[in-house]
Amino acid sequence: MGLSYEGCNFLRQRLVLSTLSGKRVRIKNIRSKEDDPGLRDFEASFIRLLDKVTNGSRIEINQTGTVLSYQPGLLYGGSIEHDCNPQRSIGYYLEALLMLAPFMKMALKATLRGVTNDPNDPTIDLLKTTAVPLMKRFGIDGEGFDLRVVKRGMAPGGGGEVVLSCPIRRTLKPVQLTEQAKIKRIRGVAYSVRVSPQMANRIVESTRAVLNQFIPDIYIYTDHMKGANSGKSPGFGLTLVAETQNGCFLGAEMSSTPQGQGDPILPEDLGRNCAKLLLEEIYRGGCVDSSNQSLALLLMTLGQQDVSKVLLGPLSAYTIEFLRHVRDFFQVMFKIEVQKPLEDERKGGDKVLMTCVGVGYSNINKTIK
Amino acid sequence: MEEKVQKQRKHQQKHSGPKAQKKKLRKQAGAADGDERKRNPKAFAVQSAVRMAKTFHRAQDIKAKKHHIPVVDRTPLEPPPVVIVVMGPPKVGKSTLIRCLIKNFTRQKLGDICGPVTIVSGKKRRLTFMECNNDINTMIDLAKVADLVLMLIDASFGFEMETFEFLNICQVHGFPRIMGVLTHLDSFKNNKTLRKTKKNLKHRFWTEVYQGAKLFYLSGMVYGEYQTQEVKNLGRFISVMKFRPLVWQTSHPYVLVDRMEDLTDPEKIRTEPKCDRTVSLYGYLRGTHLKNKGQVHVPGVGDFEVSDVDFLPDPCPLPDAQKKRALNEKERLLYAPMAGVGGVVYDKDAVYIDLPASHVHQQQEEMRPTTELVQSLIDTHATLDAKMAASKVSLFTDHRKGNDHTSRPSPPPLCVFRVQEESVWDSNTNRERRRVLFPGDADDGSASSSEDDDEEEEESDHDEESGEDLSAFLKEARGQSEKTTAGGAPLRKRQRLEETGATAEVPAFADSEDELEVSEEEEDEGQGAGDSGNCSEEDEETEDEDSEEEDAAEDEGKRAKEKEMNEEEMEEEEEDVLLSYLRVVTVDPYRPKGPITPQGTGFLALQSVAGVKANFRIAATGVVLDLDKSVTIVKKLKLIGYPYKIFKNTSFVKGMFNTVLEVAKFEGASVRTVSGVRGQIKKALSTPPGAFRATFEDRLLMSDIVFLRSWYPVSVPQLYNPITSLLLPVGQKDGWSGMRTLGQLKFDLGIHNKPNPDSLYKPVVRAPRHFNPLHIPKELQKALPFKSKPKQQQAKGKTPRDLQRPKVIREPHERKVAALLHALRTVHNHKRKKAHSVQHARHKEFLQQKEKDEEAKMKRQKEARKRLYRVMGQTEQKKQRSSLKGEQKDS
Repeated sequence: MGLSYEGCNFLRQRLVLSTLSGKRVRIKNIRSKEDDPGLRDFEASFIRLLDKVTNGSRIEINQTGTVLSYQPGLLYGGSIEHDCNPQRSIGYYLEALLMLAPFMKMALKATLRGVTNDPNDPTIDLLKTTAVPLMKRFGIDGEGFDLRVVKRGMAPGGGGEVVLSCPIRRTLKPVQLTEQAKIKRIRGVAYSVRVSPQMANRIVESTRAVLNQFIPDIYIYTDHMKGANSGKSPGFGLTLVAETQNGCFLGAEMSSTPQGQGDPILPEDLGRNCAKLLLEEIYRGGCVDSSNQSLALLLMTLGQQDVSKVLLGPLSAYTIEFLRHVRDFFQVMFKIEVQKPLEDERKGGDKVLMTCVGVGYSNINKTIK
Repeated sequence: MEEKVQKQRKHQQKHSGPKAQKKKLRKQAGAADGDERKRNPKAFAVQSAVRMAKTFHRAQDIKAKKHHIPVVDRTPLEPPPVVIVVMGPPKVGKSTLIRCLIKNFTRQKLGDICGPVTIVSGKKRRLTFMECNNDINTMIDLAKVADLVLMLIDASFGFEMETFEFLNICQVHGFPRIMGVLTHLDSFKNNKTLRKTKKNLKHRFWTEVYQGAKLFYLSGMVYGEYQTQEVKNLGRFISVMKFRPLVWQTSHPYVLVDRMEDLTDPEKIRTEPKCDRTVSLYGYLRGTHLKNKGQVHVPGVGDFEVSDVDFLPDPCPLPDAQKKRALNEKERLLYAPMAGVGGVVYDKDAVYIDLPASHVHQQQEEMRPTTELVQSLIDTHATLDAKMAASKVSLFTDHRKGNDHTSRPSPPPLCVFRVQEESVWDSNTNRERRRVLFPGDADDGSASSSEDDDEEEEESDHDEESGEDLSAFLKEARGQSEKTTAGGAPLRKRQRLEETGATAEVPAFADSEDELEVSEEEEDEGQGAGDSGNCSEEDEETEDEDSEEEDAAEDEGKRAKEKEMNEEEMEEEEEDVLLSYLRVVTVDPYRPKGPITPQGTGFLALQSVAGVKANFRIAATGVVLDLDKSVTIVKKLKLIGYPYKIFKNTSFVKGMFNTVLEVAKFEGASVRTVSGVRGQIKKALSTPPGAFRATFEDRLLMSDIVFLRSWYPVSVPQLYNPITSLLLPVGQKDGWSGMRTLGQLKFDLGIHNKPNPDSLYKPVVRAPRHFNPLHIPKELQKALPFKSKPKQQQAKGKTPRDLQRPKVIREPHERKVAALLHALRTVHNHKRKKAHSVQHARHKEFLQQKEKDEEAKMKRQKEARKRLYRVMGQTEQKKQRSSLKGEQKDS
C-alpha cells in the first residue's frame, strides 16, 4: 500500500499527495551522503505543520533523520498557529497548505509566522494574486477565502505574519482553461520594510519605464510597513501580476538580496528585472503561471469524474516531477498536447495542453450536517 | 289532459338556414378555443384571495415535490449489464424463474444456475441474473450491486422474515428497483381465498416498498416451468425498466465477478496447500473508473491490492447493427462461465474452450447404468469409511428430525420492526420458516402451511428410511439421480459437483460462489415440484464433504495477490457495529476501525451473521456522518470530600484525595457542595494526607458534602475484522462466526467475573440526623419585632376541672324564645346582606357612569386644547413667516 522514495527532493509534494490520497509514504536516504545528514530544520518545521493540520498522522523519523515514514491522518483544519522556520519563507509552507486547505474537516484559519518574502520561494503577495484566483476557478471561493500579510518579515530575520483562511469544499469543479488571451491589465505591489520608503517609489518608476511601452493600464501599489509590522530585517521587492482578458493571472516577482548575503541590488535594477521577468512569463503564457502549475494540476486531478483541461506554458522541472508523483499516488496520467502558436498569432512560446479525468475525489473529512 | 300533453309539438331543431348556421358557428368556435375562462370570465373571477393563495401554494408544493437534484448521467455508451437479483426464501422458485426468463430471452435452456448469468435481452440492454439465497451475507452483498430486485414471495405461505430483512438491507444502500413476484398461487383451491390473499399481500408489499409497487403473479407451473405468457410479460417489464442511479453504485467502482481462474501453480498448491494464491477475477466494471493497483475489498474474503487490471473483449457483446427490429438467434447471447455455458472464454494469454456440458454428460449417462459400481467408484473422492463417518444416520422416522429441533422450543413471538413473526417448521425443506405476522392475518396463513406439511410428509419419510441403510441407499440415490437426468429435466447440479471437483472449490472466493451451494438446495426443490426423482440429503452432505476436504485446506491460505479484469465488488456489513462498504466485524464495546468510508455511506449492524436466527437479524441501520482518527470518550467522575474544619468562607476538606500530590494536580479546580455553594481548591494541607484548603462563596456547614466534577478519558479498543465467510468450505458459508469476545467466552463457559469489592454497590447507611433547636442570641432577640421573637409562653393546655363552667340547660320556653330570636336574626341578616349587595351594585354602576363622564370630559377638553394649540401654532407660524419675510426683505 505504501510508496517508497529516496532522497530529499520533492518532500512537500510527496507528503501532500500522501495526505490527500491516504497512502503511506516512506522516504529513505535523505541527504545520507552529506556531512550534515538528515532532514533540515525547515523540513522538520513543515512536517510539524502537517501534523498540526491533521489528526491521527503517524510520523516516524530515524535517529539521523535520513529515513522518514509518514502515515497520513485525516485533515482536521480549524484554527492553527505555526512558527515557520526562517530558513525558507512562508511561501514554502503556504504552497503546500493551499493544496490541503479545501479538504479539511473544518475551515482552515492558519496563522503562519516567519519570513514572508525572500528571493527563493514564492512570496505571499504572489500567491495571493495568482494562486488564490486560480483556486477560485475550481470552486473554492466565498467570503472565507482570504490570504493576508499582517506583518512583513524579510529574510533572513523574518518576523512576519500571514493569515490564511480557506473554506472547505466537498467536491471541486472541473475547469476548461484552454484559451490564451491578451493581457488586460498589470497590477503590482512594491514593498519595502526598514528601508527608506522612497525605495518602493524608485522600483515603481523603473518598472513602469519598461512596461508602459506595452500597455497603459498599469498600477503598482507601494506598501511600506513600519514599526511592529516591519519584521526583523530590512529589504524591498516587487510583485507583478498580469491579468488576461479571460481572467487568468500571470505573476512575476523579485526581492532584494537578504541582508549580508551577497551583493545588494539597486531598486531600479530590481524593478527593471522584475518587469522583464513578467514579460518572460507572459511570453511563456498559458492560463496558469509557472509557479502555480502544480497546484492547478493537483486540483484538476482531484476534481469530479469529468474532463479538465488547462493550457500551460512550458512545464517546469518541479511540475514534471509532480506529474510523476500524481501518477504514483492517484494513478492519474495526463494527456499532454504541445501547441506551437504560429508566428503571426503573437501568442508567445510553445504551450502545453494538459487534459485529465478527475479521480472523483470528495472531501471525506467534512462532516455531513 | 293526456291528449293535450300528447298534442304538444316537439322542438324541431333547425338543420339549415341562417339560425342553424349561426348555432353551428358558435359551437365550432366554442370547441375551437375551448377556453372557459375567456367565454365566461365571471365564473372564474377571484372569489377569495385566501383561497387563491392556497391553491397556488398547493400547486407549487406539488411542483416542488417533483423536483430532484439533477443527477449527472455518467453511464457509458454501452452500459454494463443490468444486475437483476432474484431473491426469496428457499423453495419459492428462484431458479425456476431465472431459468424461465433465460429461456424466454435466449431460447436456451440452462440447467443449473451457478453464479451470475448474463444475457442479451435487447438491442441496448444486457441482463445479469443472480440468485440470492437466504444467507444474510449474500443478501448484504447483493443488495449493494442490484439494479433490480425480483422479490419472490411464496403466496401459499405469506411473507417470510428474510423478505423484510432484505428490504431493510436495501434501504441502507439506497433502494434499488424492487418488483414483487408471487409464486405458488396454484396451491389455492378456493378462488376467493386466492383473491383475498393476493390483495393482502399486495397491500403489505406496497407499504413496505412504495404505493403502487409492481407485484407480479405467477399462477402455477406447466411442466415444471412458469406459464410462458406470464414469463414473457415479466421479461418485457424488465427490459423496458428504467433505473435511477444510486449514490453508492455511482460513486464506487465495483465488479460483479462472473468468472474466476486460479492462476497459482497447481504443483505449489499440492505441496503447500496454504500458499498464497494468484487469482484472476473477471467481470463487467460498473460504477466509476477503476484505478490500477488500487485497494479492493472482496466481500467475504478480505481486503487486497490489485496487482493488475486488464481490458478484455466483451464476452457477451450487444448486437452491432441497430437497424433491425428484433434480435436474431445469433445475437441472443448467453454468458455464464460459472454455470459452464458460454463456450469459449478468452483470457489475455489463453483461450478456454468449454465442451458443452450436456454433451459430455449424455455420454456418461449412457455409460453409467452398465458400469454402475465402477462409476460410483470413479466419482468417489473419499473412501467409504470416511463417508460413513461423515454421514448422519437418523434413527427417528418422525418428520421432525431427531436433531436438536425436536427439543428446541419455538421461540416466543418477538416484536421487531413493527412486524411479528412466527416460526413454522417446514418439513419440506427441513428448516424453520419465519413467517411475518401482521395484525389480523395470523390465522389464515397457518392453515395453508399445515396443508403443506401434510403433503410433504410422505416424501421426507421416505428420505429418512432410506438413510438407515447407507450402502444400499448410496446406490439407490445414484440410480435415482440418474433417472432424474435421464428423465429430461435439466437439473444437473449435483452431477456437476461430482464431475468437476476442481470447479467446486474454485469459486470459493468469487462473490457468487454461494450459488453452488444454493443451487444444490434448489435441486431437491425442483424435483419435489416437478419430477418424481428423489435424491436424499445425506448423500449430498457426503458429497459436499468430499469436495470440502480439499477446500478446507486451500481456503485457509490468504490470497495476497489478485489479478483481475476490471474490479471488485466492495461489500459491507458488520456485526454489532457495521462499517460501511465492507463486510467486517466489530464488536459492541469496540469502535469500528477500517478503511476510510465516505460520509453518507449507509451501514447496518447485525448480532451475528451465522445461520438463521429466530428473530429479526438486523439490529440497526445508519449512515456515516463524520470520520475521525481519534474519538474522545470521557467518563464522568465525581470526587467527594467532607469539611472537617470551617472558618468563615474557608474550609478544610478531607477525604477527596489521598496524597498531597493528588491535591497539587487539582489546585484551582472548582468544587461545589450538594446545596450549591461553589468554591475552589486552594492548597494542600500537610495533615491529614489528601486534605486541602478550599474557599467557598458562603460558609459551609459541617454536614455539607463537597464534590468535584471531573472527566476521565476512556480508551476504546479498535477492531476491524473482515468476514471471511466465503473462504469456508461449501455448505458452511452461512455458518461463519468471528472469534468470541471475552464476554461471550465467559458467558459460554459459565465463568463469572469476580468483581472488585470496591466497585460493588453497598446499601447506603445513614446516621439519623439530629437538628439542634434554633438559638437566637439575646441581643438579636431584643431587636426583633414581636412577631419574630421567640415566644416564651407554653401552650394553654387543658383547663382544670374546677375552672370549667357548667353547661346551661334551657327551659322549653327559653328554647323557643332563643329559636325565634335566632330565626329573626337570620332573616335580618339576610335582608341586610341583600340591601348591601344592591347598594354595592348601584355604587358600581355609579362609578362606571362617573368614569364615563370623566372620560367624555377629558376627551372634550383634549379636543378643545388641541384646537387651541392648533390656532396658537398657526398664529405662531404666521408670525414667523412674516418675520422671515421681513428679514429677507431686509437682506
